[in-house]
Amino acid sequence: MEIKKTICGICTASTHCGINAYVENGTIVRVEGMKEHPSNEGTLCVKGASSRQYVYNRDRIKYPMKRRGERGSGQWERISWGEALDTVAESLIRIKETFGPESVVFLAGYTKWLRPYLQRLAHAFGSPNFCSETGLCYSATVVASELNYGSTFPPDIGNTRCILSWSVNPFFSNIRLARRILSAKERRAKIVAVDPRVTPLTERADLHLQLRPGTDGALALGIMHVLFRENLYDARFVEEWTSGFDELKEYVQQFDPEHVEKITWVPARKVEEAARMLGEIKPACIVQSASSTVHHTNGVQNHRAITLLSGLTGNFDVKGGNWVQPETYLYTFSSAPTNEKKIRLVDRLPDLPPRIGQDKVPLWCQLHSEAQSVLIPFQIKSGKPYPLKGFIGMGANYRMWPGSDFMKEAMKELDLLVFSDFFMTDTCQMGDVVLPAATSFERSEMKHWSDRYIMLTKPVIEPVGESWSDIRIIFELAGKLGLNDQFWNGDYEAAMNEMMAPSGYTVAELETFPSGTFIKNPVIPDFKKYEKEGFQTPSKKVEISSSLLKGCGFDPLPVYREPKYSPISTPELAKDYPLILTTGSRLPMFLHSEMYNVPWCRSLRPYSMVDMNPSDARERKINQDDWVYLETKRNRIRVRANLTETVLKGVTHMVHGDKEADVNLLIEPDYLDPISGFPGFKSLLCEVRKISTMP
Amino acid sequence: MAKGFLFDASRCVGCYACVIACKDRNDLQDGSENWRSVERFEFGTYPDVSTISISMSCMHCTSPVCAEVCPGKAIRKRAEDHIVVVDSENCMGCKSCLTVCPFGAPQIAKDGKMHKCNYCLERVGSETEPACARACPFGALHAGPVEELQKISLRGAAKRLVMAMEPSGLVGKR
Repeated sequence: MEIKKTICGICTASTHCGINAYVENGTIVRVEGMKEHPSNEGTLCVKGASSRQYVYNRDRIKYPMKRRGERGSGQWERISWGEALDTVAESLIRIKETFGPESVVFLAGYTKWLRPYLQRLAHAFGSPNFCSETGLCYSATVVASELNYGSTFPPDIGNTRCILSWSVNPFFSNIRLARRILSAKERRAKIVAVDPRVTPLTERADLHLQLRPGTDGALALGIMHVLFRENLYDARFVEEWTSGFDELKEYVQQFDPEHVEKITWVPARKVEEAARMLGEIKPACIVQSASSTVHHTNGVQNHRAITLLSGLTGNFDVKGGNWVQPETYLYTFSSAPTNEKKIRLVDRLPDLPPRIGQDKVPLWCQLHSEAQSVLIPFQIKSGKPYPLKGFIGMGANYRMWPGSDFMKEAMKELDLLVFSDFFMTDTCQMGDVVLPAATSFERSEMKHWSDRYIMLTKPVIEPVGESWSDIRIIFELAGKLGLNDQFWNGDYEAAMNEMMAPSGYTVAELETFPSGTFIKNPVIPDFKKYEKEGFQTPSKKVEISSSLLKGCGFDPLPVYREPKYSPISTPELAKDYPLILTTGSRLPMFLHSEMYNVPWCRSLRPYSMVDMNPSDARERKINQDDWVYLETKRNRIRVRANLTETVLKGVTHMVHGDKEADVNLLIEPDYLDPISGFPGFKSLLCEVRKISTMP
Repeated sequence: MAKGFLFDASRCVGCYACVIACKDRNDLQDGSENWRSVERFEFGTYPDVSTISISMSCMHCTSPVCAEVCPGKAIRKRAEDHIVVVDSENCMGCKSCLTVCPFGAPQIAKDGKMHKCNYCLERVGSETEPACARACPFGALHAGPVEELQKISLRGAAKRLVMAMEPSGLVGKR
């Protein structure tokens, strides 16, 4: 038996864990966490521990296949890689010649590591339409931070004395982050947790603000109200470095704690207590969610209000606060600079046709170098401003979209659907050509971690079936498209060397560290860089009143607006659908649409369940495990009831990505934040009805 | 040297990493055979809601009642490390152990015989401890010699005492 070093690549690129793979006769016989790896230090989460049933899953696509008969008929013909790539390349060239390269969409879902190269392929092909799941995850929080400060700013948890966590439950989504928060707590840092649900983090917090979903902005403005009233804000920072403070102060007059309690359901006393902790304990940092706060129809503005709390309390770009650091590689802050932007060919975007979404969410497109994936189905249906004809999806799943059936139907209108994936998902079932991708255990991958760590993995087993590394798929397809000269003539090692050139690392050097290594010459930024350079906003100040938003016709202040559907904004609708539905929080054993097909994970949660408060259930004569319809005005799904006090009375919660009960069928495709195009997944209206007789 | 597990409920979040790490290590491909399980409980109503998760397996008791009642003498406590092991050859599948075990640990598998936690006794490479304790991301589950576990337990208790004491100056202006 050999112990080989690799990583688990199941979850998101900033959190992956180091793995010891025990390999016998070319087969992984078990896995364990890698002790020397700073991300997980020998531990694993339930998903990583399930790696074997993930890698050797019966749903793995084994060979390239092309469709026989009707789309979606489930009839496939095994073909060679050569034929598959020729077929795809010929179709792409035909579409390009007839409709232009921009009519092809290149979408990267999970896994994320291939993104720089898929974006390069899209732009080299001539399409501006590289897009990803960041059309509805993470990027809107970046946009909100950039509107305020001109930059993002990860929390310096290692040096903080107070953590304001806002709708994030890393115990189920990110063990790396959760372990760091626990360490901070053991150093006696205080935790203020904002979350509409009771979670392992809120239970470990000193103060839990359990708000009505979608009212995050009002709560942040309420905290500001107390900061201003009690003079707990950093007046010198505000005076010197912000614009629009007086307007903000005027605006938050109305958000006194009693009024905020009415909006958010958070007791006024707790709003005051949170403001005092944040105003008095230095340094304090904000731990932001990648998406919860921006999955509302007022998401960007809500998130702006939240992140402004950092500057207002003097915690911006300071040790133990939120520290501005450059993203180095794939959403990490590893301190090893790379050529990622250059390799993504982002600088070609101005010369390419407009991206999907550039007409509808121009500000998001200005601040994020991708097409807005959420708007794809609308452009397919309308053909405006230009028709879309082809779709290359790597790890793509239509269930990601709000109104997932709308996206599914739209996709069927395309001339070409190509999917590469690990598993034969029901999205792949719609494809014309399906390509088998190799997992992290079967490929060589370069990874960075914000722990200032870097690793270049080697495959620990032969690829399952005829699967290929995503990078190989991209490089070989580029070759078939005549783009070899832009793809290092097929030499991936040369590509990695170029990627790492700014850090002085080469593949040869990285290969000498099979378990990875701490960055040799970390580029560590100073604190308070704005004192020298100003902020990277148009005014060089913190734009409490955003000139960019104003220019696009939006309110320049971080104003609070009710969710488009809420008991307050749509009382008529709330008569029929009196419960608030918030969707997409994590369970430990699933990740978006992944892991449902892994028996070990599924055995821990065999049924699709909606969380509801026992008092709401009693009113509807619903008992634990009863079959119910979870219903909005758009659609309904059949699930079982899970009675739990972890959700407030009047609130229900349902995970997303479960094809047995796809909660994204319940949300309208255009239930979006007008600034970002992000769906309001986390504040809808619903009803739960008991199914008395099962069909 | 007596060995065993130590479980700290205050650090368990019910993430199931231990449950699946155990299945992977012991090759329990069947979802229904759980040598380790996590049970979750909820208490109270808004605004005072709390949850507790408990990770359980064979406790490797000093006087294992399962061994006492086993008519086939299939269960035995190892002298060298006090680990309770089961010999499937001699198990007749009578479930007496399941009836008397205070922790619900015995698993009657598809072969009709009792199987349970064996403390991951066979170890190679960097397997320095049972897989469940190794995987636990939040320090809720420990394994090792009982003397060491006692030290960990004492340290944990002291830590909780310290955390309960509010040192001056942390909150509020100095």
